[in-house]
Amino acid sequence: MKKLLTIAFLSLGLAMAQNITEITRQVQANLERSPWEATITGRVQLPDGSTQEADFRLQVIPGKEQLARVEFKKPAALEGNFVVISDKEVWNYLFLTNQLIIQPRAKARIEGLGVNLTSLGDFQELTQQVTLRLLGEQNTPAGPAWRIAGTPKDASLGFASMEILVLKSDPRPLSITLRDSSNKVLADLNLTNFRRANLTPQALRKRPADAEVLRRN
Amino acid sequence: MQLRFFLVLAALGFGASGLAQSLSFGLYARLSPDYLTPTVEATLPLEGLELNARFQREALGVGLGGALELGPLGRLSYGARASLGFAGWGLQAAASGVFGPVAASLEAAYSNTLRSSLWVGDEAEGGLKLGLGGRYRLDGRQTLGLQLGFKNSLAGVASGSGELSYALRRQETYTLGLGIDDSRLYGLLGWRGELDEAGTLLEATLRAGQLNRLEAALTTPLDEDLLNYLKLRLTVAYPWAATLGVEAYGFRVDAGYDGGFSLWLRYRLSFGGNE
Repeated sequence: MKKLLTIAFLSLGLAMAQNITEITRQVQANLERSPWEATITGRVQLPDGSTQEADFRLQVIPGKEQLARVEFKKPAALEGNFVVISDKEVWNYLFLTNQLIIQPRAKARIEGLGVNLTSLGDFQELTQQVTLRLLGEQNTPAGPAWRIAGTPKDASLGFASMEILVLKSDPRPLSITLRDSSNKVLADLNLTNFRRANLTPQALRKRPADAEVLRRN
Repeated sequence: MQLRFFLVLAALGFGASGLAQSLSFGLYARLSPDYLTPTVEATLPLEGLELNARFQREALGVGLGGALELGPLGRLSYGARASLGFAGWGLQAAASGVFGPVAASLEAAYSNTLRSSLWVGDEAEGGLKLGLGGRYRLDGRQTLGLQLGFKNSLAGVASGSGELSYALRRQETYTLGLGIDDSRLYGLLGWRGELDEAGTLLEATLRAGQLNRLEAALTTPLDEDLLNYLKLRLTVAYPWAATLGVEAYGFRVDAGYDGGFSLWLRYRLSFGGNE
């Protein structure tokens, strides 16, 4: 009986592992189907226990020459700032000084608020950094969703565990929660207003014409 | 608390920085007093910093600068320059930074001759010059600005200046302000906004009162890939002085009048460096 249970448990584990591979493949295929945009809202908890409201707009053009743009709306001090990420470069625009700083992708760190926002748009990259496993399913206002847990392969990512909800009917992330080693929430972000959009590289690279451009190698 | 938040973000967004190079050749001509000189400006990377040098007839300047990039949160840049010429010598230092809702800049310069004698692009003033600028975002739409300046000329005449401004951003940005420059009072009106969908941008600032100056800058993209821009700059002041600048595809022409006419032609070669 014990042997049977062990076999059943191992089989279940294998099925779960296959499931998570299939889910991430579906999410990746869905997000790479066409350009899309979404709003990321939520709260970020600081080490002192306080929280900060966050509101970003994420636009992604998938494909060989992937391009992503993150526009900051909250916190208000960053409103008007944006980041554009391509395979080769990272652009950081600072509204207050009207400066655009361009750095090679390899040298620029693009994390913000404890989470690399572009990983929500690039599941392939996420699976390279985090070991994922399926926890089960959950009903959400958008419909049934998969609950996925993740642990970073590299401790330098700044969190100890991750939980992602992925919509089943249209495989894409609905929310992401990051926790530290004492299970305290570091970031709790929701991805809403997801829609396919006719985005162009020119639109994502748009910047004030008079911005001072500073290239840093 | 907010500051703590930005410090946390800064630690996460900290980016490595490096520098690159560029070279500019120019020819500067001026009437009354007559003066003609070639100009050369160069920047080179040096151990994570940037070495810059500039030459003109009878003067040269060498400077060193660097920057700390903090991703979307801000940056800190700093630099210093020493200039030496037949007419005299000069020192300059500047630092500026932006971090979340705050931006600040600090500048100090001293020369024992007119700074324009050491570099044609500098003002025809000598002695000590100090400047302090700051901007603070009250919220996402409103920004306060403050500029303070102090000068002690070669003749030993001291003067001060101050300007307070308030900018409101909607689709366009409107700026109101008040200033005083060496006991001359003036009001400030500014407008900045895009004129079309291509992204043509106009910024105009009028200072009027006991000091009168209009500054306007028009920038428009020259291609769909937004790689090249045409930049036009105009400044008109009373008592009569004016400058007109045109810049595109690495070429730059600056014409000026401040009691005498001047013309400066430049071409910039960039090797992937700071633009």
